[in-house]
Amino acid sequence: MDGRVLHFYLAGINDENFLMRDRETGSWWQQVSGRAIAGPLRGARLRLLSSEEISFGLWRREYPWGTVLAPVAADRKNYVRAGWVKRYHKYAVVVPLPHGPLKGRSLVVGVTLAGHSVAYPLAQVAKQGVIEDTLGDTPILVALGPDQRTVRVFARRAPGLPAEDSFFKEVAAPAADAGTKGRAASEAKRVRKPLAAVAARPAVRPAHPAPNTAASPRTGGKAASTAPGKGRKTAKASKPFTLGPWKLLDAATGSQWDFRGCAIQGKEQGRCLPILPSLTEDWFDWHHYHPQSRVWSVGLPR
Amino acid sequence: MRRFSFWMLIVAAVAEVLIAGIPVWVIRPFVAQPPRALALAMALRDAGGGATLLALAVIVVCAAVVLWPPRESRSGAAEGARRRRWARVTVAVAALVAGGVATGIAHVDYFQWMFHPDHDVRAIPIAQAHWPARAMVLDVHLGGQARAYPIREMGYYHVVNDRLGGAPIAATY
Repeated sequence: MDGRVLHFYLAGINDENFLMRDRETGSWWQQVSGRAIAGPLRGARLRLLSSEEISFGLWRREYPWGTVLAPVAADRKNYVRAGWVKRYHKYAVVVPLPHGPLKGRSLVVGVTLAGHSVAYPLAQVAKQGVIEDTLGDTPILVALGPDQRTVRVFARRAPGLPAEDSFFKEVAAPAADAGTKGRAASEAKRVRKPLAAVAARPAVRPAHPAPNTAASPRTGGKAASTAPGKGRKTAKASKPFTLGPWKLLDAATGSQWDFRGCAIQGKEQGRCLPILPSLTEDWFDWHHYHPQSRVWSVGLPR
Repeated sequence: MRRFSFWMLIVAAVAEVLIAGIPVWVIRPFVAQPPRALALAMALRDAGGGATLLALAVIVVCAAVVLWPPRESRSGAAEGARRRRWARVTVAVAALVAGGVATGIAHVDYFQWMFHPDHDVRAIPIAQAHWPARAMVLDVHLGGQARAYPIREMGYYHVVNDRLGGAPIAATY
């Protein structure tokens, strides 16, 4: 901040989003906005770096040369447990919410672009796999990754592409075409099961993700991981993790794109779609800081 | 003088409790923080160290005055005087305890006791990281480097001061 390095520490909570202070000035900062809300630097805003929530299995495949924050041995027992999001669902939401089908602690993928904000219910993203939308005048693509957990948002207008393109996802690899139907059907069945309410009235009820399903929709795949490090004790049978083939094709040329947003086969090979910043968080918090945000839902006008 | 000190003692003790207690009460999880209450709580956290020390000094002085041995009381009022003295001792001790505890709370950052910050932030290569493949991590890449901040780790203290690609960053969750 202005040539000075600030060091932050946990200092409290404000409407369910944490507050931090910096050791250098004692200013109070809101985590989600990066804005100083009190103290000498009040009004200042930290520069937001691009980051994303991604499964470790996918991350290590994409960044095999990357490094990981070392755990603190003494605090290992204090780290939040797997599936902790589920436990938070029982707490009441403390900020006002608009009327709508989304519950306060439903997870959404929030995107803001040129003053326009939209929230994609994570359960819907998990169910659809690929969502196409337009935000402001930017055509965008929301895609669920090959790990069935990570969500990325792309601009559907790659540099060099003539106009906005349309994308669709293939569920399985071409080699497994014969088995695709059966597997896709069983997959749909598994995903729909906890989303019965959504399936019944898709047009008016975007989502209430069943807590665990939203965070980690089951794929019905095998427990083995194809990521580097295969064979390590990384996946339990109850919660399969798969990094299988993931195929995205564009309608205009039929080129094949990967989850990094780059065309790996076909006419567009070598081109990449820009990745847009997105944030996966509770609907109440997204709405609290983006009150004008719309919620994406099936069948409703954009 | 003694009566004045007695009431000052009570006022200072109440002030101590409010100065230290309001931030604790307002800044707590699973409730809303109304903006004005939060502003007051943050101001009290900032000014609380000095203010509680001042109030504690007032308490100590007033307690000394209040507890100073009484002059010879008239024989007929001995019982009443003893009762009043006990009341004064009780109030003075309660004020000293409240003042001491409140001053302590105002001077320590209790969040650092409840949640321990990572004072020795280190990064390890992937091969040494034993998180399950399905565990979610926060990815940051900067200046040709990529670092994963495991969510289960970040969900505990929420903020890590780190350096990546030569730049100072704060990873938060």
